[in-house]
Amino acid sequence: MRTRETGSQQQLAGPGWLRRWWLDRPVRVKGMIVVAIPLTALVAVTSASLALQHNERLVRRTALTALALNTSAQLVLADAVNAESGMRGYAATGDPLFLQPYNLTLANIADSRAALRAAAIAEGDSRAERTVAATMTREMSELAALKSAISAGGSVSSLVPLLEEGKATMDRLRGQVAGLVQGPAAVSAAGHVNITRMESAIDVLSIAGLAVGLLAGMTGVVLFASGISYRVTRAAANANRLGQGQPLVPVPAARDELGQLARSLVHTKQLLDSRAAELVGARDEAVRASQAKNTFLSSTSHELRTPMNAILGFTQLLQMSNLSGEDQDSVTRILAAGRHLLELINELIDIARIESGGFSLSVEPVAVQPVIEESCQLIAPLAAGRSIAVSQPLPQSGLTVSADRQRLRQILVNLLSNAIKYNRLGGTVAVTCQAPGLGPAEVAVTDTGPGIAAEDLERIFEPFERLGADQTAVEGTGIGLPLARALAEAMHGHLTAASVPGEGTTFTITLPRAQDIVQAPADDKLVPLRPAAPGEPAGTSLRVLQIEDNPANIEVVSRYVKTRPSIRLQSVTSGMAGLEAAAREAPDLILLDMHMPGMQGDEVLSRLKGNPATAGIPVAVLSAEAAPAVIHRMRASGALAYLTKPLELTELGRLLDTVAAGHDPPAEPAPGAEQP
Amino acid sequence: MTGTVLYIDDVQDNVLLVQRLLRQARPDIELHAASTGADGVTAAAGTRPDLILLDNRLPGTSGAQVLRQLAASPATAAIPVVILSGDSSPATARGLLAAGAVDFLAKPFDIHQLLAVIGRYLP
Repeated sequence: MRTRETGSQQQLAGPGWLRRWWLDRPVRVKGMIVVAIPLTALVAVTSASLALQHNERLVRRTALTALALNTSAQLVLADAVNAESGMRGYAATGDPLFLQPYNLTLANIADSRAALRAAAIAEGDSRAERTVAATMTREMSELAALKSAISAGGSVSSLVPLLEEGKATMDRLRGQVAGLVQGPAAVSAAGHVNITRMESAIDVLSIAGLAVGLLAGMTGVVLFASGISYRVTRAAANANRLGQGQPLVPVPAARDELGQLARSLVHTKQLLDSRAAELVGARDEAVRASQAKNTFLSSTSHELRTPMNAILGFTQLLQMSNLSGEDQDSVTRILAAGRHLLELINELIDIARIESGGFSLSVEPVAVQPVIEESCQLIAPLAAGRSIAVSQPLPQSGLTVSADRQRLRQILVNLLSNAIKYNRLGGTVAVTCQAPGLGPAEVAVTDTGPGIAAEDLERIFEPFERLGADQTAVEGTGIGLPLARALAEAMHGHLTAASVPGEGTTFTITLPRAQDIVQAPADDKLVPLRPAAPGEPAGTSLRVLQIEDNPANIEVVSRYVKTRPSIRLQSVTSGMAGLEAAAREAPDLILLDMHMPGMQGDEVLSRLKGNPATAGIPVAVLSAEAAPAVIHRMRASGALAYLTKPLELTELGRLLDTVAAGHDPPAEPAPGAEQP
Repeated sequence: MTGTVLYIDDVQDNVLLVQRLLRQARPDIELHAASTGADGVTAAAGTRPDLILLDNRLPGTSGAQVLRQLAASPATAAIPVVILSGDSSPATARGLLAAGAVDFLAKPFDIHQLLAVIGRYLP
């Protein structure tokens, strides 16, 4: 850019004011000027040439006139000389033959004198001509007198005076003709020289004019075109930079069209910059607001949870003590209300986290049927209290979706409790699940409540929009549905509602299907477990460590283990705690969850195997993930068995039996050992 | 006495709650309390408790900072620390577990769950 700018300075070199003046001319004026300069040069040269030619013609004409006078005067003189010579011969011989020139002159004299007169008039010297003519007339009359004397036969001596007189007249005529001819001859000679000079001047001028005109024209056009094209190129480059948001290259100010273009580009840039600055400001404002909101949420969450801790904690303490029946009931009610409040706080915080993007999910393949069953179990007391029958889909549906198991259950529980709370007494709630074709899975919850008008169907997904339920006895937080929808969307699904007023409402959760749920190949199946023989004591004093963060899963295992008194179960909720416990307790078996906060199952397994103190402890992986690749990887890392969730308790039992009996696992796979 | 537990929390209600809970359910455990991170680190080095319960938000400091200070001192590095946090977000839990906490309970905690966690380290 730098060099091109320098080039422009050179193009527009000259005094500052000239450059300024040139830049400010409109482009069409510039074009006219560029065309006018060579044209003017050509016109000037042509005019000079024409003027020279005109002069040359004048000089030529003057010279011709002079020549004509000269010629005609010489002719007159020659006539006179011829006549006089002839007459002398006649005088000497008397032979009339010598009279021939005289007669010829006599015949021609009128013409010769007329020609001389005309030339003299053209030359403007008629006085000298008149003198010559008079002398000529006198000569002729003298010759005529001589002829008469000769014819009369006069003596030679009588003729001598006449002859001498004629000779004197002849000499006078010669002198007069020479005088007449002298001026024009000089003029003619000078004119000739002039004409030659002018002709070469005209040649030089024509060639030089043509060259100057062509050169000036070409230079002008080149300068004009390159100047304009340079500025247009620069304007285009600036327009381009404008589009890319880069700073513009400075352009010399000018008032012509291109200058206006450059100025409007600069204005546009300023406008864009100020808009951009406004946008940046608005964005910063929004980011600050969002940060403020997150900080507010975080501190509110803490501030709300701190007193809740005391309320729920002390209430639980009270519940543990021996209170009278009514007091115990009061404490239970305080606890229930406190937990409801906590639920409200948690839902509010969840919604706010989803909105501010600070929400994390653990999405994995989840079998839908067991989640529906769990959710129905959770709301069973509520349904029973209102005599509402809840129907579930047939257990054979092996539908698996990609979701966060806990959040999916949260959505289902929310929809189910709504379906019960907003139902008629003795109504029904139906849960169905299906996956049409290869499309997403749909889980629907249908109630037999009063239904929702079509225009209100979207409003129910707005926070605290309870459609007049505030006037009823139905309790609710007012954010359950918005949260359920936000959760479904966070898991790349949807939540929609459809209703026939008077008949009921259907809420449908749509979730992507998990595609990687396939049966593991036979050689990847987990280590088979010998079925416990009926009545056989299931091992003695087996110490099992469960590493699992999900309380429901801990509960399932611990309930099962209670049925087998010989097993002592210890649970920790994080991988780190698990590693410590394993090293400290050296248990006989470790049940390891795959997905935990902090340290994932893979890492826990590799650390257990990497520590000599724990490397020998058999590890069974419990996971909702049934992808063959994962199973294979965990087995390769040293897992003894891989059980998929939801846990099949008989499988767990066989695993415990095998470990308790100290058997080495047989080689052939146990059928169904990793079936969900 | 089976052992000692140090509870670092600036909210007196919480300390009182855990104190009464332990008196009732685990009379064999002696509870020490500290209301600031600095006091907590000092008390931990002085009494060498079997377990530390640590509030995630303390005046002027954070649970993670206290965790680092405890881990930096040979006298306290081996003591297991359980976080009791008012902030239940998974990111917070992951961060603290990665920083060396052995367990993480969100407030309000279930007292039975807390007893279970304590029982794991002080059977």
